[in-house]
Amino acid sequence: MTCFNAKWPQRQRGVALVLVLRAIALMAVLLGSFALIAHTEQLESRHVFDAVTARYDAQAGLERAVFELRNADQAQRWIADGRPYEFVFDKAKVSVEINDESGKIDLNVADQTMLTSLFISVGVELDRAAALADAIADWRDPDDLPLANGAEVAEYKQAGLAYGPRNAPFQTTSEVQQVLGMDYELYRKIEPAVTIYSGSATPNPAFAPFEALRTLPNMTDDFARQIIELRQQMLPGQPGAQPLTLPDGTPIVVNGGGLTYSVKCRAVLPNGVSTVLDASIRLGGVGTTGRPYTILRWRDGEAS
Amino acid sequence: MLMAIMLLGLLLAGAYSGIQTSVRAMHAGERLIERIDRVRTVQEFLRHQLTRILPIAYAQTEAKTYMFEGERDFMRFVAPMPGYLSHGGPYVQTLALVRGSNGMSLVFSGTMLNGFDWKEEKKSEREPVVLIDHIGDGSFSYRALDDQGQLAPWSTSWDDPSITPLLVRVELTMQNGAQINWPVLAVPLMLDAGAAHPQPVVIPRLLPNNGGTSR
Repeated sequence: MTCFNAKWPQRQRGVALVLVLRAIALMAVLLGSFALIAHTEQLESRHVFDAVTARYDAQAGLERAVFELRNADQAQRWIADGRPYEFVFDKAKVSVEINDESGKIDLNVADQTMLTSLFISVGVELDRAAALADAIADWRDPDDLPLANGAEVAEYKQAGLAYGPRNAPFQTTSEVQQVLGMDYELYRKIEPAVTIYSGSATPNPAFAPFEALRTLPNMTDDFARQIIELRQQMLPGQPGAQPLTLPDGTPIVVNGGGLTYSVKCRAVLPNGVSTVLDASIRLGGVGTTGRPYTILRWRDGEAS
Repeated sequence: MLMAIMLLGLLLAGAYSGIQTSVRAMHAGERLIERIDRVRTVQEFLRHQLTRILPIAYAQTEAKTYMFEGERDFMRFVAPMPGYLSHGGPYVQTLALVRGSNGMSLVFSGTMLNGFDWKEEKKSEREPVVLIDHIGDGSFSYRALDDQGQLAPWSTSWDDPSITPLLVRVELTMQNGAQINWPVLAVPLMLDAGAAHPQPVVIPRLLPNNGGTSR
């Protein structure tokens, strides 16, 4: 056999070294990959820590918004028409946008015409938009009689759903996703425009966000953007250079705002970690928790 | 010659056991990281759900309205589910500590509030999910303001189901072999009473002797 060849030891002299090197290389690869996993874990922990910090910084934005909305100095008071306000809190850059809920479309009050134009404005074709509007009306009305394009229990059953319409007002805006024909994608599109807290049939154009403004009659996207731009240039307590009007000539009057606001706060830490807090609040009174405002809706740390 | 082969064998055995040990250590480390990751995810999920607890009733009897039930090992409340996991809207959710073969488990389940029948315990859309197991012991506790408006001490039972507490705490002790600790999770409930849209009807189908006409 070759292993008893007299020359073998000389030829194979380096075999131990090669083996050791290979073993070391293998272990290095193993440990290297482990180090990578451990490092990723460390990064994740770090990110969670930063995200928590950013979350509380964003919450500071909400508290500041409550304070500024009631600022005794009219000229300094923050306006709830979606204009951006920024400040630095504990090294984090906090930006706050406040929208008076009266600028949104109330899902419990809006009629089918308003709801249809809401769906059309986000790109739904007329037939489906009309069906969705009727289905929403059927969802909230107490009867079991479907409207022309609507849906009551039988239609839900037919669609294979285990539930029917609630026949009562919406309890949260996200409940609209349960309405026959709605889906998550469509909900994400209409969400900025809808509320359940304003109680008025049409959005107030003085405070309406872009998504709600463009549902108004004869409104174009450009016109809506222009209104928002001009609106945001107006200073508190001072009328703008030219009065703002809707496409049909109705003047936009900055009044009639409610006490319910949606506040969107984004906090960005110096290292770039950011989080968004999107909440709806109602000012006035002291709740059971001792806050001078009531929190109606709370979404933090979600992509929005 | 024999010596060389023996040395080589020893070397091979050494190298093999070295690699084996490092692989074992790596797996143990990976498992630990996985567990830490799981604890973190579960805590984040619980925080997400508990902060959003809605003051909405899910059941009504002649004597009581049920909005929040809390015991040492069981909690039931109404909250939205993450958008991608649901049809949207409020869901009746439960958290329970259940004893099983892997020690105690923290089990979560969610059922749509619309059509929820307390007595029938309608099957949820999804099977209950085990969030974390290998728990040695654990408890839920609740905290609210007392009559004087001061923060009352933590209690492992919640007496009045018609209101929600201010804070909810989840304390778990992991089993000895679990090699990981559960940091105490105390979550403030953000939504105040009044967050729910005032309801003209009070879930009449849950009242006794009612044929379920509210749909």
